[in-house]
Amino acid sequence: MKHKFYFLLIMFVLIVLLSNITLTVIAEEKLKVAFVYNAAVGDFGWFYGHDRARKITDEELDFVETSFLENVTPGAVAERVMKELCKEGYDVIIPASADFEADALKVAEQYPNVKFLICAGTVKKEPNVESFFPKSTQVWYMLGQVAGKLTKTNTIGMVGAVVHPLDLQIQNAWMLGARSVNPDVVQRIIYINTYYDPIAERDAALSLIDAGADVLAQATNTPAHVQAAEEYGVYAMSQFEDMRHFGPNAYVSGDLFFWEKYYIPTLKAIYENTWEPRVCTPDLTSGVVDMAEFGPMVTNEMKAMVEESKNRMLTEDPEFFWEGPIYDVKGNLKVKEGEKLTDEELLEMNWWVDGIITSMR
Amino acid sequence: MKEASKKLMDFRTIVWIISMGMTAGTPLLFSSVGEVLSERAGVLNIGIEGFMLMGAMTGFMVSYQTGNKWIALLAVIGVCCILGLIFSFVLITLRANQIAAGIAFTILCAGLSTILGKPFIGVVARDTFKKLTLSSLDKFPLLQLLFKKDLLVFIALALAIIAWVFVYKTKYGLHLRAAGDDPSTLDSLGINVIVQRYIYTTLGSILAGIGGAYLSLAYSPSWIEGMVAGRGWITIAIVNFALWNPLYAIGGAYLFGIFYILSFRLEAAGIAVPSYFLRMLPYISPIIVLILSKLRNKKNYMPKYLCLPYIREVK
Repeated sequence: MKHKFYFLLIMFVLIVLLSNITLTVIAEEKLKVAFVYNAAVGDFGWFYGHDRARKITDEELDFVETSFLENVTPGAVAERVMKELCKEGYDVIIPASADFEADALKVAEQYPNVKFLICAGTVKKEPNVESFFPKSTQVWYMLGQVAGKLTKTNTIGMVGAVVHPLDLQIQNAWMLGARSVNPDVVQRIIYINTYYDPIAERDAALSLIDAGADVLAQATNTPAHVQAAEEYGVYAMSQFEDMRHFGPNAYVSGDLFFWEKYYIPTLKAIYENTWEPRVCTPDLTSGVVDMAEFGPMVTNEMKAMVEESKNRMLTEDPEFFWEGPIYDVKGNLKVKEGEKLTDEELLEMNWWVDGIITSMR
Repeated sequence: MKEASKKLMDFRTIVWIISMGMTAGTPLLFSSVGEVLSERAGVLNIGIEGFMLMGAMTGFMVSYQTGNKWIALLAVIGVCCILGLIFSFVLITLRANQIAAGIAFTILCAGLSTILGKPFIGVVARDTFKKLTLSSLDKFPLLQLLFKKDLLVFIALALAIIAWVFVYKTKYGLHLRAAGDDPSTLDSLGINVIVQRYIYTTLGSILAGIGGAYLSLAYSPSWIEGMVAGRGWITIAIVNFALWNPLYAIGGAYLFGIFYILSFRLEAAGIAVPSYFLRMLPYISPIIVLILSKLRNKKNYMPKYLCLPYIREVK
């Protein structure tokens, strides 16, 4: 009886010890990374791209273990979800949407050991928070030049999501590009107040077409505007993914994101303890952002024009288009002649350049 | 801004808004007529959002697999019929709380459509309801704008009128109304209340499914998770606003659609009202009409036995 008791006790202690050891071994070996999405990964846009990058990162880096949570509502739910993830021992949390920024900052303050990489964030300095968003404005300036040449009605239309500095940068860059080749162009923007509502996106696109727009683009997550453009015989550009097969006659081009080219080096740096939080804005040279192939309507002349701008970005100044003079929609001089918008100013952008028609001004 | 105001006054734009509003209101018209029938029979079908989602998913899936939109529509009817029967069984035979069961059903169908629809996200639809070609109207661009729609828009309109004739002008319609207003009298006439409720709840579910399928086969031909985006809940508001009358439901659904489109079109014109307010427009409209109709007419049109299970009293 006594023997049996001792035997059980020893077994118990052994089991406890072993399980503890195995737990710590796993925790030390793997970098646990959680991705938080506020819509479904099947949106064929923003989160679709992030999740593809997540899979590539997971395969590429042996020491990384990833998981994801989709359809997380920003606000109290997101905060609770991220807290749970911290408690479960995740080392890195990637809230892959601008909507999560405020919630992520709150949680980051409480869990200083957990690292947060906020996609499309605007945070400048926190010890454990990094914001990242590629400078797709470069691509959008060039796409604006194409749009300015393509439009016959001198109206281009944007299906906007919410008023956010990063979206405004893209809309303004698109406008500046279009104006650089065609001073009569105006851009109409409809904000649908969400990044994901395929039906509202379509209705916004149709309203823009009725208001005269013949080149469309979107800040939202789905290809609904490409389908609408195909149906009504106008052109469309896209963000985040190549949406060509949704409208082969309408699709002009768009920006493409390869998030894994950011995730892999950053997670490596975190694993090797060489990571320093920053505002990470990789540009065309990094490969995180690129331009999709042109559709058949883009002439050689337009291609040469784009090539010229690209060369200027690569050799002279990556963001020459933010140079003054730039007027806002109300007629105020925002950037003086000879000056240029700084990265800080870009992160705080809350104005529309001259030529944009929006009801939010 | 000058250009914007000029655009707003344009007659063609007004016709365009009405025309687009009709299309936008069509899925709501299908589901509203269905909900009117089921609420008239005394069953509050809160699960309508779920049925619409299942309809949208099934429609797109079958149309993609078979390449035939009509087979897809039949499949939608079949699936929603089965789901509607299960729903009726829970509500009518098991006498579950209609609101709790309805919400549970919505969540169940939302999850089911998400899981089953996963492989169909991002694929291009193979056969969809396209706009009719009306070459005889070529000379009248405004009429063409108004009537160049897909067939389902007109089917929905016809269905609402048929439902009105059925509810108010036929013997069976009287039975239907009695099932919601005075089931014990109906029972004493020898008509089975339970069967009545089963029929109309299932029919309501099927119509909701077709409304959902309209979204994925005609309106925005694709399947994307949660694409119904709250239209099921709006349906319930429209039915209230339509005073449980299928004919008024046409007005309710189209009015919602018109306000919905108007909010986008006004923004495209650059009107100086923030889009946060504009997006609210379609939701304000039923509330205003509801208040106005209440002020003018104090009568309560709600079926008296709505939400109450029928229990035959043994004396």
